[in-house]
This record gives sequence, C-alpha cells and structure tokens, in this order.
Amino acid sequence: MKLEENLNKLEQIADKLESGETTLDESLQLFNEGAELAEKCLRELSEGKGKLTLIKENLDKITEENFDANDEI
Amino acid sequence: MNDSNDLILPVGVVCGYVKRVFDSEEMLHDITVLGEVSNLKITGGYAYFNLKDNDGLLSCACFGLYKTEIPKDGDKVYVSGSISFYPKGGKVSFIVNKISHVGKGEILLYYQKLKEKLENEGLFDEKHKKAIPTYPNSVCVVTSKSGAAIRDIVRTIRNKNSKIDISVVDVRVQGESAAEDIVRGITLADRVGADVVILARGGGSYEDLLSFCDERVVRAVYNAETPIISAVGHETDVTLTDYVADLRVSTPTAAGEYVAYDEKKIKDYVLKLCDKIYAETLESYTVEQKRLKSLINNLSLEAGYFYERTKNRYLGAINRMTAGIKNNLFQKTSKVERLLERINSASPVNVLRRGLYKVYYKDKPLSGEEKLNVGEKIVLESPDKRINAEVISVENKRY
Repeated sequence: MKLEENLNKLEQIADKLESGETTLDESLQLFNEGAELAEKCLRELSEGKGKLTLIKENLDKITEENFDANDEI
Repeated sequence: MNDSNDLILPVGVVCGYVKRVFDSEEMLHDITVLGEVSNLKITGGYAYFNLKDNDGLLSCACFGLYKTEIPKDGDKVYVSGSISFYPKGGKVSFIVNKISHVGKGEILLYYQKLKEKLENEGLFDEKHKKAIPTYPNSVCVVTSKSGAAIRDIVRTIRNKNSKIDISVVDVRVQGESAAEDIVRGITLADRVGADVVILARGGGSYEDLLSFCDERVVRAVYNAETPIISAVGHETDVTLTDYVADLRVSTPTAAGEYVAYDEKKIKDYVLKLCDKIYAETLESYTVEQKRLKSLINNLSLEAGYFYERTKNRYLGAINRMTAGIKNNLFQKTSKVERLLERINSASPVNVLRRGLYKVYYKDKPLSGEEKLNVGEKIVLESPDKRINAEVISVENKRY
C-alpha cells in the first residue's frame, strides 16, 4: 500500500508547511520531497489495471484463474 | 352433445358442490400447516402468499394480518386456518388466521446466548479490530461466485477504481455445510495475502443467514490476520460476523463502496496537495523576502540616520571651529589694524604728509650735528616735492 504511505507523507508535508513554522530552507527541502512524492502517487494512480481472479486451492497450493462475475449468473 | 344422457351440470353447480365438500370436511378446518413462505404480497391488512414444501404448494390468504406475525419470503412458518374452495376463481385457498415462525424464538435465544458468550470472551472488543486500509491494492471476497453479492461488489469497485485486484474465494453461503465451507473460505482468503477480505452474502431469510452466526465462522473471522469486512444480508440483518469483523457494512454493495478509493478524487486530491505545498513554499519565500527587504530598509534608514548624525556633528564642529577662528582672526585683525594705525600715524611719510620736509645737505640727510653756513646749498624734500634752497641765516636755539 505504497499509495497510502506516500499520500500520508504528502499530507504531513503539506501540514508542516501550512503550520508556518518552517524556515525558507526547510520549506524548499519539503517542497522538493513533496514534488517527488506527488509524482510517485500520480504514477501509481495512472499505471496498471486490477485483476479479477478466482482463488483455487490444490493440496495446500493457492492458484488463481481469471474470473468474470457476469459469466456466473 | 353428450349421447349417454348423463346429467349435464353447469360449472357453478359443480363448483358449489366442491365448495360444500371442502366446507364439510373437518380435516380441512382449523388445521395448522408447516411450510415455507414464497411469493408474498401484502396489500393493506391482507397478505397473499404460497406455502410450500418439496411435495406441494398451498395458495394462502390472510385477511387479519394485524393479528399475527408477518412473514418474509423464505421463512419457515406454522400457518393455522381452513382450506376453502372459491367457486368463482375455481381455486383452493388456505384462509389463514395465524402465522408463527418455526422455532424462531428458540433459535434467536441460542444465538443470543452464543453472542453473550463470545462477547464475554472479548471476541467483539474494539481493541481487536484491525484498521481497514484506505487505499488497498487487493481485495479478496469470500462469497458464492454465482451470487448477486460478488457481482454487486465487482461492479461497485470498478465504477470507482480500475486498479484494485479483486479475487474471489467461492463458498456455499447457505445450507447444511455452509458454515464449514465459509470457515474454509475465510482461512484460505487470509492466506492469499490481500489487503482486505470481504465476507459477503446477499439478503435472505434469517435461516439463510444463520451460517454467519455459526461459532466456527465467528472464530475464523476473529483469528484471521487480514482485516475483514462483514457484508452479510440487507440493511436490517445483523449476524454475529458483523460483531466480530473489523468493520460491518450493511450490504455487499456498501462493502465495495467502502474499499474502492475513487482514483479520480485521489488524483485531484494529490494535485490539491501539490497546490497547497507550492503556495505554502511561495508564502515562506515571500515572508523571507519581505523580512530581508525590511531588514535592508532598516539598515538603510539606520545608515542614513548615522550619516546625518555624523554629518551634523562634524558640520557643527566645523562651524564652531570656523566661528572661533573668525572671531580670533577678527580680534587679531582689529589689534593689528589698531597697531597699524598707530604705526602709520608715526610714520615719517605721514609726518611729511602733514607738511614736514626732509633736509639733505651734500646729498645726505642733514643731521643735528652738521654745521651749516650761510649761502650753502641744501635740498628740501617732501613725498611729492623737491625744493633746492640756500641757507640765509643760521640761529642756534636753546632748549
């Protein structure tokens, strides 16, 4: 759950900056960190597509096969 | 036409006869029948439904619904009343005056006690609840693969999110061995390594949902390491898995809603945070810039004041010095002028100017020692005149 982790960090940076208790140097450092984190979040949100699978168990071994909920109606 | 001269009867007469047979048969009066309710329709105070078992079906009508328990489709009930035949509809109906659920009281009591026991053991304590991740990457659903619940969950998640992996562990959700199968499913789902498990089932009669009150199922949910959401039945149905699960939602659709974060909203949120971070950094920069400007201004002002103060101090000193020198000079000048005046007044030139002549004798100034004789030539000289003269007489003066 990298997204959650990165988003939390991003929120913390925004809160810290908003508190107004940072020096200009600290602000610039936080800005750079925030920009990197935001890029990671947006990349995670844009890349890849989720699977839909049916879990099977054979002799304690877990396998997955594609599944279409509508086929099962 | 009928050729056998048999008696030909109108439908109404036959139906009337059938009705009389039904009405006179005591076996069909004030009887209690056990069956499952289906196709229930309630209109005002009347209820119409079928009462069925594996071998037969009775069409029932209850006109005093306010006096009796109200069933749901799928409920097992005892129904009391009389069988009658309606000639106009040609239909046999069971006229119901009382409906009571089969052993519901006993069943509810058993589960109530089980609930208390598990509660006392601490299985439902808040401290055991695991947090449901806000942005899960994967969800494992334990339910029937052919039920409405899985379709509702998949549809709801995909409406908001295309990224979450959804896996399904197929289990029987009703019937004799459903509880055992659900336990197997929960244990399997826990091993899959998903971020969250949804235990789901669509609505049904309370008997259908009893598997989700089974002690083995409750303990399996409790023992799972993955956070579990209980999404069993409809809004009003409550099962023991609802109490033990890390989160209870009212329906499978609600579970899908809960786990699926909205990609677009999160993107917007990230961009909003970016704006905020940019604005705050800019603000920080502006504040610092203002501070520096103000510092520079203050320094300039101070420097200006210092310059003015120093300038005024030195100018004052110079002025005072100049004044002193002038004054001194004036005094000295006056003194000199006075001296000069005095010197000038004693100057022979001025004496001569006042009418005195210098006397030269034999080209030398005449001194008092010199003896002049009558007839000797002398020269008289003033600053502006030279007079050649001759001694006419010499007289000695006594002082």
